[in-house]
Amino acid sequence: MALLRPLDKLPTLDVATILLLGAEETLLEQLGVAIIKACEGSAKVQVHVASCLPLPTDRECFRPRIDLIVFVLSLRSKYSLRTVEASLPHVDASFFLGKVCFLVTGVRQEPNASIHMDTVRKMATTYHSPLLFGDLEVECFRASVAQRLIQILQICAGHVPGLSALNLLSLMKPSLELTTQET
Amino acid sequence: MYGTSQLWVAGRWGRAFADNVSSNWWSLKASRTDPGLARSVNFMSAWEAGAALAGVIGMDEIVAEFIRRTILKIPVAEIGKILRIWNFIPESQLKTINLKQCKENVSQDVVELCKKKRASMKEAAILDIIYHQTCQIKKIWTVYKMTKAPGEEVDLSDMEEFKDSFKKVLQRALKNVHISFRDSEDTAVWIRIAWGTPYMKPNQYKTTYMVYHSQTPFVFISHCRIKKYIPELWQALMTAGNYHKIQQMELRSLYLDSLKAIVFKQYNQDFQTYCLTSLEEENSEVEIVDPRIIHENMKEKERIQRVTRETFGDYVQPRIEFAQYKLETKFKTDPKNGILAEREEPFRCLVKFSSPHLLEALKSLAPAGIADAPLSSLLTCIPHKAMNYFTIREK
Amino acid sequence: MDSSNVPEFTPKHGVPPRLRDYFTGASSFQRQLASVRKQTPFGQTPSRRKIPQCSPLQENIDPQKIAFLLHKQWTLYTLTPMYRFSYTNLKQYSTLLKCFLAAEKQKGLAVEMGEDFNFKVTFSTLSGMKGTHRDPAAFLIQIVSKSQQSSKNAEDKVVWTGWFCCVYGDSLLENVPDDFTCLPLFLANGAESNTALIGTWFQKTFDCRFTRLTISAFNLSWMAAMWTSCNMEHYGTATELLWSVPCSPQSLDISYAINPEDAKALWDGVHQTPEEITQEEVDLFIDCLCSHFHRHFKINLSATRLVCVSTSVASAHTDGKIKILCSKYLIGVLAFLTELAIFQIE
Repeated sequence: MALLRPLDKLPTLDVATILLLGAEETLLEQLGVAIIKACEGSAKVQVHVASCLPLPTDRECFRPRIDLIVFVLSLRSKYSLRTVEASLPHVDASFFLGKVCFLVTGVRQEPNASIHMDTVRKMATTYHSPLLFGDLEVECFRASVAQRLIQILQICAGHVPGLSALNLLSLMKPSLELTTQET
Repeated sequence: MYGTSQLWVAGRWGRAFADNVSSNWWSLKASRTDPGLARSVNFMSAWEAGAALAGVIGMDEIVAEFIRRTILKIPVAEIGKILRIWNFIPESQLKTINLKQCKENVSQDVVELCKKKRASMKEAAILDIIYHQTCQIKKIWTVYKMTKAPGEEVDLSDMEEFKDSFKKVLQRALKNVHISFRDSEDTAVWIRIAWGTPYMKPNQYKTTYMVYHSQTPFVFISHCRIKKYIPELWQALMTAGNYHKIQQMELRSLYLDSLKAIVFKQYNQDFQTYCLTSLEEENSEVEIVDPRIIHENMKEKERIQRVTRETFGDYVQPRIEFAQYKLETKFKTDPKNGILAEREEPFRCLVKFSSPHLLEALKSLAPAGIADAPLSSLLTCIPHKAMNYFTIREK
Repeated sequence: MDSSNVPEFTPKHGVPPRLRDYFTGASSFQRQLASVRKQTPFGQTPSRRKIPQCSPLQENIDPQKIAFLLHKQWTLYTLTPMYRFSYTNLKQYSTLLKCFLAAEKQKGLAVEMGEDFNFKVTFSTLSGMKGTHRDPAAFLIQIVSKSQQSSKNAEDKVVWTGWFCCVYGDSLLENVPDDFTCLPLFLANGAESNTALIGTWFQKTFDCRFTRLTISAFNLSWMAAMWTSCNMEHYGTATELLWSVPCSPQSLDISYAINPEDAKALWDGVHQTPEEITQEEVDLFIDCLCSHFHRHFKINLSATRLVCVSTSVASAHTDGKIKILCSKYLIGVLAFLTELAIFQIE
């Protein structure tokens, strides 16, 4: 199947596009709404939601350039991990130069966890991508996660002068390296 | 051949109870002295006669206790309603009961009023039936299907005849059995059976309930853990209904109405009409999503919605709470890992699904991304096959 | 606001050395945990464990006492190390706890000890209930209510039982200071109000704290695998996994019971390394069961939540209730629970 590539299309003027990907669609939709709300009046952001990769080919021509992919996992559902794992091979390697991040939800309800945090950490380290935490079920946490994602998205879309996605990744590197050291 | 004797018995029965205690004594004596007569009247069991006698002295303590416990079972909000349906205590006296006090006191008040009217077990049993008709989800109902002998498919039996014959056969077999009938609004008759033996009083706290619709081969039974008298019960049922065979359908639920809907195949009509409103709400729920969010998998989502609608229909599902599958199939997983691939014996499992509303829960699985669409036919066939207990073997 | 949720960006590892020393100095327990973390990759949980074994020390336990602990539902708690707890003072503790409970009862608090003050509190050690000699001895508290009738024929009724243990905890707890006794696992059976009161007394007396121990779905699947791997002469019950499906508006529970011999056969197919169980094996075992289920019902159990596991060895619920059924593997079950308790205490 077709790989998802970061730079095979021209950017849409002033629009940044984020792709939220994960098995728990209602959570993705809620997060999408939070992102759109947070951007109202300030920046143009397009939110795409998908449950898995590859994306259906029939919509290829309508799809703008994707600036940031967020893989959303819930610690409560092993299925959400499996979906992300199955989707990752469909992402072109150059996306991992700063345009991918993992978002873990359901962290606060430890007794519900079906996946161990280590598994998720390992995955993020393997793919050299930042790992964010935030409980998407709770509105205030969702809003702050949305804020963060918008900041990263702005950089990934090249809307922040003097900063690129790769820059951002190397800025975040210390924390990534620490995680690798621990292993 | 039953016709005449039965009618005669019915007449005797009615009089014996309505008149007075002396006629009860008469029938009791008659049953002892005249063996020919005994056969036809012995369903006026010795115990009932004794209970009726107690009515002269005052109300039997056993009856009082039974009424008290029955009232205690009823939810507070329903007590007034149920007593009105019972129609044993006159409205004027009912008003004197303070329903706002604690249940214990309400039950005492009701018992006092019943004592004044010398309630017998006959009336008390009717109260118990009304309680079970009003508060239905207290028992697990099992569906049985009866079949007629070839050539006798035409059913001309009358409900009254059915009742009499049923009672007669059962009481002939077990002597001390207390049977009560009450017609419900939907042409069904509710039958309550308190079991006893020739040497033991009927136990009013362990009863079998039956609901029978005349002109249909289905009977709904709630056993309450008494399995001992099933052969006698079948005999009585088949004789009274003029059936040839009876068999259990693997279908059980707390909700009698849903079972009826399933076996009478009404659920796509009846259930549809009264549930339209809730469906509309459901539809609007799907469309709440912000239009600015672009769904990449929209087509797949629509397919899942469509397939779910095709399998479950538009109506709200009949209500059952559980389904059970005994799996005796070969173990198969991913061919890559080949675990237990050589194993010939079946992998034995027992899978139980339980939910307050099982079919609705199953319906929501695929849209929630928890199950594939279409869902397995093992699950979707429950209403069509009228079964919720399955054994699955490899073909 | 959400700093706790994004530890990746908080300078967790950048704590100034002096401050860090202060913290670890303040509670030696944290230092022990730090050493645990060093042992295991990626923070917390080991990715391989030993197959539950019969401990040689278990032979020292009175079989009657074992029988008393089996087949009862125990609520699990974790207990922080007790300060200046002494095994020689058990008799004194019995008296003190009794006085405390009687005083609370006099205050009119809910103490469920029967009608009057006629009850007895006993502390007794459960010798042999340990994995190695270095584990502190387990002990048991019982509250027995004496009936008022003539004491000869009237049976004394046990109203509350609780026991404290630490099985194979020494490898995780390296250097407990002399003044502390670490029995991280506490199991209670009886009214919850009593447990709370006794917890208060322990807190006052030994400066320790009780917390409910919950078992995550992740650890439940470990239990499912470990207990299935046990060799049983005969199986009492099926291997049953209970899944809770998060679907709205109706909840749905799925009980998946597997014939114990067939479950063992599957485990033997999955299991590779002798004497050890690895995370991969646990995952594969559960995945195989899920995929067999999916083949029949088209439902992805991996999208639902495992809430209860029961086998012939023991049964455990995610809310921290456990029943141990088999005396042979009692120590093995307790060893895993001790480990979970230690990790939760942090």
